[in-house]
Amino acid sequence: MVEAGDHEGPAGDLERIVVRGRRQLRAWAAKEAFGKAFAHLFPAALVVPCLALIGNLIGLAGPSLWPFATVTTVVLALVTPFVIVAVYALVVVLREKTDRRVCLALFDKLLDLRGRLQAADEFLSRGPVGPFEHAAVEDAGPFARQALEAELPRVRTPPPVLKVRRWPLGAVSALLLGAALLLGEAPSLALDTPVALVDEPPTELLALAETVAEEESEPPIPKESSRRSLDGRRMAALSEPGSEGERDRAARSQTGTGDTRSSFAKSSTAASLARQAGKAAAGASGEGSSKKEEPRERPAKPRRENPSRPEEAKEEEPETSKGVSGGTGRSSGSRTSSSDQPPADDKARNDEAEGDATDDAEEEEDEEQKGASTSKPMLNNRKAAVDRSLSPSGLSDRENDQANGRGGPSGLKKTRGVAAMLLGVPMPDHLRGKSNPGRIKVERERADPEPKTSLAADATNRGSRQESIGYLPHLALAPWMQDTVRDYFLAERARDLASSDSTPSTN
Amino acid sequence: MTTADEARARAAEFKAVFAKVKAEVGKMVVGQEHVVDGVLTAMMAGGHVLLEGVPGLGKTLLVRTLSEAVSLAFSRIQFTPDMMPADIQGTMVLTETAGGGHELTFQQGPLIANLILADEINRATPKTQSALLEAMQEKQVTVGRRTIHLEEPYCVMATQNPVEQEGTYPLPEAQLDRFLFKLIVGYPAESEYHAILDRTTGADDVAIEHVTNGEEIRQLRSTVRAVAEPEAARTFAIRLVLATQPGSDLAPSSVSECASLGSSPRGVQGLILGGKVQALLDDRFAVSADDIRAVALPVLRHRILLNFRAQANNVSSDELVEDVLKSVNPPHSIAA
Repeated sequence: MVEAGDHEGPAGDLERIVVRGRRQLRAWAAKEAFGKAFAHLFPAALVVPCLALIGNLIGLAGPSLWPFATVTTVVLALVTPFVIVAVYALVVVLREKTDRRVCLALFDKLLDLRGRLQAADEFLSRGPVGPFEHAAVEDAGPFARQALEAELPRVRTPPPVLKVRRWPLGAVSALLLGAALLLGEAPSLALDTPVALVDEPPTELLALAETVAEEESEPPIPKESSRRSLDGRRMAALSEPGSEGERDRAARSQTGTGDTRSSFAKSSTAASLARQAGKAAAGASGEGSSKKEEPRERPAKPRRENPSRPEEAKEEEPETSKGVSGGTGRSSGSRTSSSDQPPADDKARNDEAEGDATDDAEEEEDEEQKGASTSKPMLNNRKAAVDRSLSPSGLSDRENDQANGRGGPSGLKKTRGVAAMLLGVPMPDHLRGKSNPGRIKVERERADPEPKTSLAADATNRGSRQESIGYLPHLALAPWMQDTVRDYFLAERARDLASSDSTPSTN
Repeated sequence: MTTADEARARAAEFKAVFAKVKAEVGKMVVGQEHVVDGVLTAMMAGGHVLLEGVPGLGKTLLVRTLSEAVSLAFSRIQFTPDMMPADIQGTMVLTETAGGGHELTFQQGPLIANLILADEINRATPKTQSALLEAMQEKQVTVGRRTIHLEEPYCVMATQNPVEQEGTYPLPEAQLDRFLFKLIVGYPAESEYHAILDRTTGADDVAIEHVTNGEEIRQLRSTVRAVAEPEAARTFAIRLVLATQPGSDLAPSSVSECASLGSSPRGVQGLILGGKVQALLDDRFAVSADDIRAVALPVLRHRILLNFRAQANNVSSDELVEDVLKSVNPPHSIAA
């Protein structure tokens, strides 16, 4: 590349113009790139909070992946967006390849030179061959010097604007940062994991539960009964909003370390620990499987209206609760309480109500299917097969609710073939237009002709034409035709004369 | 004298002659400056002109005055539906020799001249219109076995009336493409009416002087062709023509929707030649994109064939050319 000022004449001037224009264009590109990048400030502000949050979330289960302290995290969250914006703008500017011709076009446009500088530079680069190209190069000289002295206008780029629709991202980043900081200071949740509880000896946990119970000045409870009561309270607390269970969780999340926990929280935690210990002591039998069944319990399904059913429903309710609480050691847990009844009971019930037995069997089958696999379709929701009979069914006004477009009678027009061609199917008339004026009746009446008077037409004598008919234009004949006509009449006259002369002699 | 000085002298001569002819035509034709400029530009660029306007706007007067100012062999053809090609090209006639014998001789038609005024060209049948094709492009006339080379400068200036379309034969695309410019003659302004009345209803006769001749016009045409063409201007002209072609990558959506045919390569030639004349008139020695843009409308408007959709929506070819000019930018340009 030729350095600026190495050339004399138009070539050197053009080179200096290129350097100047390139500098200017880069500055504009930097401003523009910064403006564009600044619009992404809020999205960039999400980076550090997200990373901190993810690192601290992972750190709850193990060693924290976010190594920075709170103050450092806040500083990073504030500084990083600006760094990202600056780096983005810098990359854009460095990638900007400013063409030499564009630099010259900048001054051509600025001074309204109509491409003189660009044309001269092109002719100089390839060598002017014609007189007009030489003249174009020389012509560009004064304009090039003028361009060197011209001051480029300062393009006032508007201040970078943060789009309003991205403002929520700033709030989100702040919330994420706050959450990350709270998580960073929160205790590890490893103590609450069942793995840790299983590893500990159950006796120690029971002892801890007893200690906590003593602190609450409650009467001593046997191990099994205390476990059950704790379980019951735990269940009740979980089921009631704003109750102990929730307060327990809230207290755990707010207080952080175990040393600062209140006695109330301690008791809850102790109850939880006791429950876990009971689980561990009970092993893998009964309790575990019954707990597993809990989520599968469904609210009581609305039964069909059947007057003979209430007694049976009353009978089933305790059985259901029995099935939930009294399951012993079944690993599958798929069968419901109704299936746990002895076969003799079922048989007796079948004897009592034969009609209901079918429904019961269907329900049991449905529940079994649901329990076995949730991926199977709901078989009881399946509609009956579509009636594909081709008989005309439009005679019925009732709309078929099973019509699904797959054929069969679903309204008035679901017929095919000959049946459709016959007029046995009433078709509604959808034609709109003028109403029929009615039948047209033509009546003929006999009437006798009546004589009517009229004036007599008088015949008049019109007479004959006595005056001339006026000027009649006629086409002028061609000269030769006129000669022919004249010759003809002259010949006729001569013949007449000849005949008149000869007539007396003959006479 | 250096080569640059020679170019400067030729450019100055061109500009001077152009101004003289324009002033002479201006004695008779009032207003219509863009039409006069267009006619002179086309004549200097070596092209033909199609003038379109309602009757009474001075189309014929303009061409007749121009022929007087440039002192070229002028002939006027009033096209009618019953006109045959032989009526304008010429034909063999039987003539009596001095010795009393007979021989067939070629009687030249009005097409064989330097400046042709084809008045109401769209009233002639396509057969007669086609007789102009060879004369306009190859600058020769073939009758029977005889081929007559037409003398330069040769320029056809045709007029047509856009209103009375009954009994007319619209020019075929091949014919339209041969016209360098299509100029629309509009109504004069109020102030121009006063001048028209002064010149036409007064007692003074306006005399048109010969300010140039055929030989000089030939030289001026060579001067026009010597003007330098930078790559940017050439590329811009090519892109403009490509943008008029429906389906092209450069074509704006309006062109793709409303045009059924775009400009041919003759359009690029017209853009460059017209731009060269504009550059000379602007005291420059190279064509710029601005020169191309200045002549784009008269060069391209008759080369775009509108489809039914455009006609139904009342979209004109001028609007499509404007869209093309907006959508295509010169290469290596700075946006505003």
